[in-house]
Amino acid sequence: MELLYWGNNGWGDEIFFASLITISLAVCSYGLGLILGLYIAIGKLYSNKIVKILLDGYTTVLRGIPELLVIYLLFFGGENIITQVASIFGYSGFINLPPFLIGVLAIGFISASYSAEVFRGSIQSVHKGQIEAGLSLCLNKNKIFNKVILPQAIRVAIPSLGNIWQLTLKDTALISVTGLAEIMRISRVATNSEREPFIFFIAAACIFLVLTSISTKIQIKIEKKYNESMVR
Amino acid sequence: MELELIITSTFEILKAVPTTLSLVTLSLSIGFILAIFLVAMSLSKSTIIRFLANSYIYYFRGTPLLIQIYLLYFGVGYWLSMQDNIKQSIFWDIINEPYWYAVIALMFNTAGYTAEILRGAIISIPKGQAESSYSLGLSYYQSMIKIILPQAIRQALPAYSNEVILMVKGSSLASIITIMEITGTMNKIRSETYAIYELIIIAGFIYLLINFVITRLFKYLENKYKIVSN
Repeated sequence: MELLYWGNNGWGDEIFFASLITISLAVCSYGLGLILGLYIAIGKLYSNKIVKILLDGYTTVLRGIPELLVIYLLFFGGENIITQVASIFGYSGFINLPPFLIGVLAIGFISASYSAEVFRGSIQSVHKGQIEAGLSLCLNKNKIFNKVILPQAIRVAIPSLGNIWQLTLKDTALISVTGLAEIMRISRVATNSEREPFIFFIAAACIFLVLTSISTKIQIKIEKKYNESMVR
Repeated sequence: MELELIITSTFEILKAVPTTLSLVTLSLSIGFILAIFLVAMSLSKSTIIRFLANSYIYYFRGTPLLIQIYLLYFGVGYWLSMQDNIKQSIFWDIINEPYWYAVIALMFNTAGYTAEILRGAIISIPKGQAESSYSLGLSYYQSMIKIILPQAIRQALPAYSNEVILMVKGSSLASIITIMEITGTMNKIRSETYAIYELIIIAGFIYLLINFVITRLFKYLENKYKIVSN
Protein backbone atom coordinates (compact mmCIF):
# COMPACT_ATOMS: atom_id res chain seq x y z
CA MET A 1 0.00 0.00 0.00
CA GLU A 2 2.96 2.35 0.56
CA LEU A 3 3.33 2.37 -3.19
CA LEU A 4 0.20 4.47 -3.48
CA TYR A 5 1.42 7.17 -1.05
CA TRP A 6 1.92 10.78 -2.09
CA GLY A 7 5.47 11.95 -2.78
CA ASN A 8 8.73 10.52 -4.00
CA ASN A 9 8.33 7.08 -2.46
CA GLY A 10 4.83 6.43 -3.74
CA TRP A 11 2.96 6.77 -6.98
CA GLY A 12 -0.02 8.57 -5.46
CA ASP A 13 0.80 11.99 -6.91
CA GLU A 14 1.66 10.57 -10.34
CA ILE A 15 -1.63 8.70 -10.46
CA PHE A 16 -3.52 11.79 -9.29
CA PHE A 17 -2.06 14.01 -12.03
CA ALA A 18 -2.57 11.22 -14.55
CA SER A 19 -6.26 11.15 -13.60
CA LEU A 20 -6.43 14.90 -14.19
CA ILE A 21 -4.96 14.35 -17.67
CA THR A 22 -7.49 11.59 -18.34
CA ILE A 23 -10.36 13.83 -17.24
CA SER A 24 -9.21 16.82 -19.28
CA LEU A 25 -8.59 14.57 -22.29
CA ALA A 26 -12.11 13.17 -21.98
CA VAL A 27 -13.71 16.60 -21.51
CA CYS A 28 -11.86 18.18 -24.45
CA SER A 29 -12.55 15.32 -26.85
CA TYR A 30 -16.17 15.08 -25.75
CA GLY A 31 -16.61 18.81 -26.33
CA LEU A 32 -14.97 18.56 -29.73
CA GLY A 33 -17.20 15.57 -30.48
CA LEU A 34 -20.35 17.46 -29.48
CA ILE A 35 -19.60 20.51 -31.63
CA LEU A 36 -18.40 18.50 -34.62
CA GLY A 37 -21.26 16.03 -34.19
CA LEU A 38 -23.89 18.76 -34.20
CA TYR A 39 -22.50 20.25 -37.42
CA ILE A 40 -22.29 16.80 -39.04
CA ALA A 41 -25.89 16.13 -38.08
CA ILE A 42 -27.01 19.47 -39.54
CA GLY A 43 -25.05 18.72 -42.70
CA LYS A 44 -26.59 15.29 -42.96
CA LEU A 45 -30.11 16.68 -42.64
CA TYR A 46 -30.06 19.95 -44.55
CA SER A 47 -27.30 19.96 -47.16
CA ASN A 48 -26.93 18.65 -50.70
CA LYS A 49 -26.45 15.06 -51.76
CA ILE A 50 -22.66 15.00 -52.08
CA VAL A 51 -22.09 16.42 -48.61
CA LYS A 52 -24.64 13.96 -47.25
CA ILE A 53 -22.84 10.99 -48.79
CA LEU A 54 -19.49 12.21 -47.48
CA LEU A 55 -20.83 12.70 -43.96
CA ASP A 56 -22.62 9.34 -44.02
CA GLY A 57 -19.30 7.80 -45.03
CA TYR A 58 -17.56 9.59 -42.16
CA THR A 59 -19.94 8.33 -39.47
CA THR A 60 -20.07 4.80 -40.92
CA VAL A 61 -16.31 4.47 -41.12
CA LEU A 62 -15.51 5.97 -37.74
CA ARG A 63 -18.12 3.85 -36.01
CA GLY A 64 -17.10 0.71 -37.90
CA ILE A 65 -13.35 0.60 -37.43
CA PRO A 66 -11.57 0.04 -34.10
CA GLU A 67 -10.62 3.16 -32.12
CA LEU A 68 -7.03 1.95 -32.12
CA LEU A 69 -6.80 2.36 -35.90
CA VAL A 70 -7.90 5.99 -35.70
CA ILE A 71 -5.36 6.64 -32.97
CA TYR A 72 -2.57 4.98 -34.98
CA LEU A 73 -3.58 6.96 -38.06
CA LEU A 74 -3.32 10.28 -36.25
CA PHE A 75 -0.30 9.30 -34.16
CA PHE A 76 1.84 7.98 -36.99
CA GLY A 77 0.30 9.82 -39.92
CA GLY A 78 -1.14 13.02 -38.50
CA GLU A 79 2.11 14.96 -38.35
CA ASN A 80 2.91 14.12 -41.96
CA ILE A 81 -0.43 15.44 -43.14
CA ILE A 82 -0.10 18.64 -41.10
CA THR A 83 3.45 19.20 -42.34
CA GLN A 84 2.40 18.72 -45.94
CA VAL A 85 -0.55 21.09 -45.54
CA ALA A 86 1.78 23.61 -43.95
CA SER A 87 4.30 23.31 -46.80
CA ILE A 88 1.56 24.33 -49.22
CA PHE A 89 1.27 27.57 -47.28
CA GLY A 90 5.00 28.09 -47.50
CA TYR A 91 6.10 26.70 -44.14
CA SER A 92 9.14 24.48 -44.40
CA GLY A 93 10.05 22.18 -41.55
CA PHE A 94 8.43 19.41 -39.60
CA ILE A 95 5.53 20.16 -37.32
CA ASN A 96 5.32 18.12 -34.13
CA LEU A 97 1.93 17.56 -32.60
CA PRO A 98 1.80 17.09 -28.82
CA PRO A 99 0.35 13.67 -27.85
CA PHE A 100 -2.43 15.37 -25.89
CA LEU A 101 -3.66 17.11 -29.05
CA ILE A 102 -3.46 13.86 -31.02
CA GLY A 103 -5.49 12.18 -28.31
CA VAL A 104 -8.14 14.91 -28.27
CA LEU A 105 -8.42 14.81 -32.06
CA ALA A 106 -8.60 11.01 -32.30
CA ILE A 107 -11.11 10.48 -29.50
CA GLY A 108 -13.00 13.63 -30.52
CA PHE A 109 -13.42 12.44 -34.11
CA ILE A 110 -14.73 9.08 -32.88
CA SER A 111 -17.01 10.73 -30.35
CA ALA A 112 -18.27 13.09 -33.07
CA SER A 113 -19.41 10.20 -35.24
CA TYR A 114 -21.50 8.83 -32.40
CA SER A 115 -22.97 12.15 -31.31
CA ALA A 116 -23.76 13.07 -34.93
CA GLU A 117 -26.07 10.06 -35.16
CA VAL A 118 -27.69 10.95 -31.84
CA PHE A 119 -28.26 14.59 -32.88
CA ARG A 120 -29.61 13.53 -36.26
CA GLY A 121 -32.12 11.17 -34.65
CA SER A 122 -33.23 13.68 -32.06
CA ILE A 123 -33.59 16.55 -34.55
CA GLN A 124 -35.71 14.27 -36.70
CA SER A 125 -37.82 13.35 -33.69
CA VAL A 126 -39.07 16.94 -33.34
CA HIS A 127 -42.54 17.12 -34.76
CA LYS A 128 -42.98 18.74 -38.16
CA GLY A 129 -45.78 20.89 -36.82
CA GLN A 130 -43.19 22.78 -34.79
CA ILE A 131 -41.49 23.98 -37.96
CA GLU A 132 -44.80 24.96 -39.47
CA ALA A 133 -45.76 26.80 -36.31
CA GLY A 134 -42.43 28.63 -36.46
CA LEU A 135 -43.02 29.55 -40.09
CA SER A 136 -46.48 30.85 -39.30
CA LEU A 137 -44.89 33.14 -36.70
CA CYS A 138 -42.64 34.55 -39.47
CA LEU A 139 -39.44 33.18 -37.95
CA ASN A 140 -36.65 32.65 -40.44
CA LYS A 141 -34.92 29.30 -40.99
CA ASN A 142 -32.05 29.90 -38.58
CA LYS A 143 -34.32 31.11 -35.84
CA ILE A 144 -36.61 28.12 -36.22
CA PHE A 145 -33.65 25.79 -35.92
CA ASN A 146 -31.96 27.58 -33.01
CA LYS A 147 -34.99 28.55 -30.95
CA VAL A 148 -37.57 25.91 -31.77
CA ILE A 149 -36.02 22.68 -32.96
CA LEU A 150 -32.65 22.50 -31.17
CA PRO A 151 -33.94 23.01 -27.59
CA GLN A 152 -36.46 20.23 -28.05
CA ALA A 153 -33.97 17.97 -29.82
CA ILE A 154 -31.39 18.36 -27.05
CA ARG A 155 -33.88 17.19 -24.44
CA VAL A 156 -34.40 14.00 -26.45
CA ALA A 157 -30.67 13.59 -27.07
CA ILE A 158 -29.48 13.94 -23.48
CA PRO A 159 -29.73 10.28 -22.33
CA SER A 160 -27.80 9.05 -25.39
CA LEU A 161 -25.28 11.87 -25.11
CA GLY A 162 -24.64 10.69 -21.55
CA ASN A 163 -23.85 7.22 -22.86
CA ILE A 164 -21.45 8.74 -25.38
CA TRP A 165 -19.70 10.57 -22.55
CA GLN A 166 -19.12 7.24 -20.81
CA LEU A 167 -17.83 5.71 -24.06
CA THR A 168 -15.50 8.66 -24.60
CA LEU A 169 -14.21 8.46 -21.04
CA LYS A 170 -13.37 4.79 -21.48
CA ASP A 171 -11.85 5.37 -24.93
CA THR A 172 -9.27 7.73 -23.41
CA ALA A 173 -7.55 4.66 -21.95
CA LEU A 174 -6.49 3.74 -25.49
CA ILE A 175 -4.48 6.96 -25.82
CA SER A 176 -1.91 5.30 -23.54
CA VAL A 177 -0.47 3.61 -26.66
CA THR A 178 0.81 7.03 -27.77
CA GLY A 179 2.75 7.46 -24.53
CA LEU A 180 0.61 10.24 -23.08
CA ALA A 181 0.89 10.08 -19.28
CA GLU A 182 -2.74 9.31 -18.49
CA ILE A 183 -3.96 6.73 -15.96
CA MET A 184 -3.33 3.62 -18.04
CA ARG A 185 0.14 4.71 -19.07
CA ILE A 186 1.18 5.62 -15.53
CA SER A 187 -0.16 2.40 -14.06
CA ARG A 188 1.71 0.48 -16.75
CA VAL A 189 4.96 2.33 -16.01
CA ALA A 190 4.49 1.90 -12.25
CA THR A 191 3.81 -1.81 -12.71
CA ASN A 192 6.94 -2.26 -14.76
CA SER A 193 9.17 -0.52 -12.27
CA GLU A 194 7.66 -1.90 -9.05
CA ARG A 195 6.75 -5.41 -10.21
CA GLU A 196 3.40 -5.10 -8.46
CA PRO A 197 0.78 -5.47 -11.21
CA PHE A 198 -2.35 -5.81 -9.14
CA ILE A 199 -2.08 -2.67 -7.02
CA PHE A 200 -1.72 -0.18 -9.86
CA PHE A 201 -4.16 -1.73 -12.30
CA ILE A 202 -6.78 -2.13 -9.57
CA ALA A 203 -6.16 1.50 -8.55
CA ALA A 204 -6.65 2.56 -12.18
CA ALA A 205 -9.82 0.48 -12.46
CA CYS A 206 -11.14 2.08 -9.25
CA ILE A 207 -10.48 5.57 -10.60
CA PHE A 208 -12.42 4.75 -13.73
CA LEU A 209 -15.26 3.26 -11.68
CA VAL A 210 -15.43 6.42 -9.55
CA LEU A 211 -15.42 8.61 -12.67
CA THR A 212 -18.16 6.62 -14.39
CA SER A 213 -20.33 6.52 -11.27
CA ILE A 214 -20.00 10.26 -10.71
CA SER A 215 -20.94 10.87 -14.33
CA THR A 216 -23.95 8.58 -14.01
CA LYS A 217 -25.12 10.62 -11.00
CA ILE A 218 -24.67 13.90 -12.88
CA GLN A 219 -26.35 12.42 -15.92
CA ILE A 220 -29.47 11.48 -13.94
CA LYS A 221 -29.61 15.01 -12.48
CA ILE A 222 -29.35 16.66 -15.90
CA GLU A 223 -31.99 14.36 -17.35
CA LYS A 224 -34.32 15.25 -14.49
CA LYS A 225 -33.72 18.95 -15.00
CA TYR A 226 -34.44 18.82 -18.71
CA ASN A 227 -37.55 16.73 -18.21
CA GLU A 228 -39.04 19.01 -15.55
CA SER A 229 -41.15 20.86 -18.10
CA MET A 230 -42.45 17.61 -19.52
CA VAL A 231 -43.65 16.04 -16.27
CA ARG A 232 -47.36 16.42 -15.78
CA MET B 1 4.57 2.70 -51.08
CA GLU B 2 4.58 0.65 -54.22
CA LEU B 3 1.75 -1.45 -55.49
CA GLU B 4 3.65 -4.64 -54.79
CA LEU B 5 3.90 -3.81 -51.09
CA ILE B 6 0.21 -2.98 -50.95
CA ILE B 7 -0.66 -6.38 -52.41
CA THR B 8 1.66 -8.37 -50.15
CA SER B 9 0.53 -6.53 -47.04
CA THR B 10 -3.12 -7.00 -48.01
CA PHE B 11 -2.56 -10.74 -48.14
CA GLU B 12 -0.65 -10.70 -44.90
CA ILE B 13 -3.42 -8.78 -43.14
CA LEU B 14 -6.08 -11.03 -44.66
CA LYS B 15 -4.26 -14.01 -43.17
CA ALA B 16 -4.88 -12.46 -39.74
CA VAL B 17 -8.66 -12.28 -40.24
CA PRO B 18 -9.29 -15.83 -38.88
CA THR B 19 -7.52 -14.88 -35.64
CA THR B 20 -9.79 -11.86 -35.17
CA LEU B 21 -12.89 -13.88 -36.05
CA SER B 22 -11.99 -16.74 -33.73
CA LEU B 23 -11.27 -14.30 -30.90
CA VAL B 24 -14.66 -12.68 -31.41
CA THR B 25 -16.76 -15.80 -31.90
CA LEU B 26 -15.15 -17.70 -29.04
CA SER B 27 -15.51 -14.85 -26.56
CA LEU B 28 -19.03 -13.99 -27.71
CA SER B 29 -20.35 -17.55 -27.45
CA ILE B 30 -18.86 -18.28 -24.03
CA GLY B 31 -19.73 -14.76 -22.91
CA PHE B 32 -23.37 -15.25 -23.88
CA ILE B 33 -23.66 -18.37 -21.70
CA LEU B 34 -22.01 -16.52 -18.83
CA ALA B 35 -24.41 -13.61 -19.40
CA ILE B 36 -27.45 -15.90 -19.03
CA PHE B 37 -26.14 -17.05 -15.66
CA LEU B 38 -25.52 -13.44 -14.68
CA VAL B 39 -29.05 -12.43 -15.63
CA ALA B 40 -30.48 -15.34 -13.67
CA MET B 41 -28.40 -14.17 -10.70
CA SER B 42 -29.42 -10.54 -11.06
CA LEU B 43 -33.11 -11.51 -11.13
CA SER B 44 -32.80 -13.78 -8.11
CA LYS B 45 -34.57 -13.12 -4.83
CA SER B 46 -31.46 -13.36 -2.66
CA THR B 47 -29.86 -9.97 -2.03
CA ILE B 48 -26.31 -11.37 -1.91
CA ILE B 49 -26.55 -13.14 -5.28
CA ARG B 50 -28.13 -10.06 -6.80
CA PHE B 51 -25.38 -7.89 -5.38
CA LEU B 52 -22.68 -10.18 -6.79
CA ALA B 53 -24.16 -10.15 -10.29
CA ASN B 54 -24.78 -6.42 -10.21
CA SER B 55 -21.27 -5.60 -9.07
CA TYR B 56 -19.85 -7.83 -11.81
CA ILE B 57 -21.89 -5.95 -14.41
CA TYR B 58 -21.00 -2.62 -12.79
CA TYR B 59 -17.27 -3.35 -12.90
CA PHE B 60 -17.11 -4.66 -16.44
CA ARG B 61 -19.29 -1.90 -17.86
CA GLY B 62 -17.62 0.85 -15.84
CA THR B 63 -13.97 0.25 -16.69
CA PRO B 64 -12.21 0.34 -20.08
CA LEU B 65 -11.60 -2.99 -21.79
CA LEU B 66 -7.90 -2.16 -21.89
CA ILE B 67 -7.68 -2.19 -18.07
CA GLN B 68 -9.41 -5.56 -17.95
CA ILE B 69 -6.94 -7.00 -20.45
CA TYR B 70 -3.99 -5.51 -18.55
CA LEU B 71 -5.22 -6.86 -15.22
CA LEU B 72 -5.62 -10.33 -16.68
CA TYR B 73 -2.45 -10.47 -18.75
CA PHE B 74 0.05 -8.42 -16.73
CA GLY B 75 -1.66 -9.14 -13.42
CA VAL B 76 -2.96 -12.69 -13.31
CA GLY B 77 -0.58 -13.86 -16.04
CA TYR B 78 2.42 -12.41 -14.24
CA TRP B 79 1.33 -13.94 -10.96
CA LEU B 80 0.87 -17.35 -12.60
CA SER B 81 4.30 -17.16 -14.18
CA MET B 82 5.79 -16.60 -10.70
CA GLN B 83 4.36 -19.89 -9.39
CA ASP B 84 6.93 -22.63 -9.84
CA ASN B 85 4.57 -25.58 -9.62
CA ILE B 86 2.45 -24.14 -12.44
CA LYS B 87 5.51 -23.54 -14.56
CA GLN B 88 6.40 -27.19 -14.32
CA SER B 89 2.89 -28.47 -14.98
CA ILE B 90 1.51 -29.46 -18.37
CA PHE B 91 -0.83 -26.45 -18.36
CA TRP B 92 2.05 -24.02 -18.78
CA ASP B 93 1.86 -24.10 -22.57
CA ILE B 94 -1.76 -22.97 -22.41
CA ILE B 95 -1.17 -20.45 -19.63
CA ASN B 96 1.79 -18.95 -21.46
CA GLU B 97 -0.31 -18.26 -24.58
CA PRO B 98 -1.54 -14.62 -24.71
CA TYR B 99 -4.38 -15.69 -27.01
CA TRP B 100 -6.28 -17.24 -24.10
CA TYR B 101 -5.88 -14.14 -21.97
CA ALA B 102 -7.43 -12.08 -24.75
CA VAL B 103 -10.30 -14.55 -25.19
CA ILE B 104 -11.01 -14.61 -21.45
CA ALA B 105 -10.80 -10.82 -21.09
CA LEU B 106 -13.11 -10.24 -24.06
CA MET B 107 -15.46 -12.94 -22.77
CA PHE B 108 -15.76 -11.40 -19.29
CA ASN B 109 -16.29 -7.98 -20.85
CA THR B 110 -19.00 -9.03 -23.29
CA ALA B 111 -20.74 -11.08 -20.58
CA GLY B 112 -21.24 -7.92 -18.52
CA TYR B 113 -22.69 -5.93 -21.42
CA THR B 114 -24.81 -8.83 -22.72
CA ALA B 115 -26.22 -9.46 -19.26
CA GLU B 116 -27.34 -5.84 -19.03
CA ILE B 117 -28.93 -6.04 -22.50
CA LEU B 118 -30.73 -9.30 -21.68
CA ARG B 119 -31.92 -8.02 -18.31
CA GLY B 120 -33.39 -4.93 -19.92
CA ALA B 121 -35.14 -7.09 -22.51
CA ILE B 122 -36.54 -9.50 -19.90
CA ILE B 123 -37.87 -6.64 -17.78
CA SER B 124 -39.50 -5.14 -20.88
CA ILE B 125 -41.67 -8.25 -21.39
CA PRO B 126 -45.11 -7.49 -19.88
CA LYS B 127 -45.79 -9.20 -16.57
CA GLY B 128 -49.01 -10.64 -17.97
CA GLN B 129 -46.97 -13.06 -20.06
CA ALA B 130 -45.48 -14.65 -16.95
CA GLU B 131 -48.81 -14.58 -15.10
CA SER B 132 -50.70 -16.23 -17.94
CA SER B 133 -48.09 -18.96 -18.22
CA TYR B 134 -48.36 -19.62 -14.46
CA SER B 135 -52.11 -19.85 -14.85
CA LEU B 136 -51.53 -22.54 -17.48
CA GLY B 137 -49.58 -24.51 -14.88
CA LEU B 138 -46.04 -23.79 -16.07
CA SER B 139 -43.32 -23.56 -13.45
CA TYR B 140 -41.05 -20.51 -13.09
CA TYR B 141 -38.25 -22.07 -15.15
CA GLN B 142 -40.64 -23.38 -17.82
CA SER B 143 -42.23 -19.98 -18.26
CA MET B 144 -38.81 -18.33 -18.28
CA ILE B 145 -37.36 -20.62 -20.95
CA LYS B 146 -40.43 -21.18 -23.12
CA ILE B 147 -42.28 -17.87 -22.83
CA ILE B 148 -40.13 -15.01 -21.57
CA LEU B 149 -36.67 -15.70 -22.98
CA PRO B 150 -37.70 -16.21 -26.64
CA GLN B 151 -39.53 -12.90 -26.57
CA ALA B 152 -36.71 -11.18 -24.69
CA ILE B 153 -34.07 -12.36 -27.15
CA ARG B 154 -36.07 -10.96 -30.03
CA GLN B 155 -36.32 -7.69 -28.15
CA ALA B 156 -32.58 -7.73 -27.44
CA LEU B 157 -31.44 -8.36 -31.03
CA PRO B 158 -30.74 -4.73 -32.08
CA ALA B 159 -28.80 -3.96 -28.92
CA TYR B 160 -26.93 -7.25 -29.17
CA SER B 161 -25.84 -6.52 -32.74
CA ASN B 162 -24.25 -3.33 -31.39
CA GLU B 163 -22.49 -5.37 -28.76
CA VAL B 164 -21.14 -7.79 -31.41
CA ILE B 165 -19.74 -4.86 -33.39
CA LEU B 166 -18.20 -3.44 -30.22
CA MET B 167 -16.57 -6.83 -29.68
CA VAL B 168 -15.11 -6.88 -33.21
CA LYS B 169 -13.67 -3.44 -32.51
CA GLY B 170 -12.57 -4.48 -29.04
CA SER B 171 -10.69 -7.47 -30.39
CA SER B 172 -8.19 -5.00 -31.86
CA LEU B 173 -6.96 -4.40 -28.30
CA ALA B 174 -5.64 -7.96 -28.28
CA SER B 175 -2.83 -6.61 -30.46
CA ILE B 176 -1.49 -4.81 -27.37
CA ILE B 177 -0.74 -8.14 -25.72
CA THR B 178 1.18 -9.27 -28.84
CA ILE B 179 -1.57 -11.20 -30.60
CA MET B 180 -1.23 -11.02 -34.37
CA GLU B 181 -4.81 -10.29 -35.34
CA ILE B 182 -5.70 -7.65 -37.96
CA THR B 183 -4.50 -4.61 -36.01
CA GLY B 184 -1.45 -6.43 -34.69
CA THR B 185 -0.38 -7.57 -38.16
CA MET B 186 -0.97 -4.10 -39.52
CA ASN B 187 1.16 -2.59 -36.80
CA LYS B 188 3.94 -5.11 -37.45
CA ILE B 189 4.02 -4.28 -41.17
CA ARG B 190 3.93 -0.58 -40.31
CA SER B 191 6.99 -0.86 -38.11
CA GLU B 192 8.83 -2.70 -40.89
CA THR B 193 7.88 -0.51 -43.85
CA TYR B 194 7.00 2.87 -42.25
CA ALA B 195 3.91 2.98 -44.44
CA ILE B 196 0.79 4.09 -42.60
CA TYR B 197 -2.12 5.38 -44.72
CA GLU B 198 -2.34 2.38 -47.04
CA LEU B 199 -2.17 -0.08 -44.16
CA ILE B 200 -4.85 1.70 -42.14
CA ILE B 201 -7.10 1.81 -45.21
CA ILE B 202 -6.65 -1.93 -45.81
CA ALA B 203 -7.22 -2.87 -42.18
CA GLY B 204 -10.10 -0.42 -41.79
CA PHE B 205 -11.75 -1.77 -44.92
CA ILE B 206 -11.56 -5.34 -43.60
CA TYR B 207 -13.09 -4.28 -40.28
CA LEU B 208 -15.85 -2.39 -42.09
CA LEU B 209 -16.58 -5.46 -44.20
CA ILE B 210 -16.82 -7.71 -41.13
CA ASN B 211 -19.12 -5.23 -39.40
CA PHE B 212 -21.22 -4.82 -42.53
CA VAL B 213 -21.80 -8.59 -42.71
CA ILE B 214 -22.72 -8.63 -39.02
CA THR B 215 -25.24 -5.78 -39.40
CA ARG B 216 -26.83 -7.52 -42.41
CA LEU B 217 -27.03 -10.79 -40.50
CA PHE B 218 -28.77 -9.17 -37.56
CA LYS B 219 -31.13 -7.23 -39.86
CA TYR B 220 -32.07 -10.57 -41.40
CA LEU B 221 -32.66 -12.11 -37.97
CA GLU B 222 -34.71 -9.11 -36.83
CA ASN B 223 -36.90 -9.39 -39.92
CA LYS B 224 -37.27 -13.11 -39.46
CA TYR B 225 -38.45 -12.81 -35.87
CA LYS B 226 -40.46 -9.62 -36.35
CA ILE B 227 -43.90 -9.53 -34.81
CA VAL B 228 -46.36 -9.69 -37.68
CA SER B 229 -49.41 -7.73 -36.66
CA ASN B 230 -52.57 -7.60 -38.67
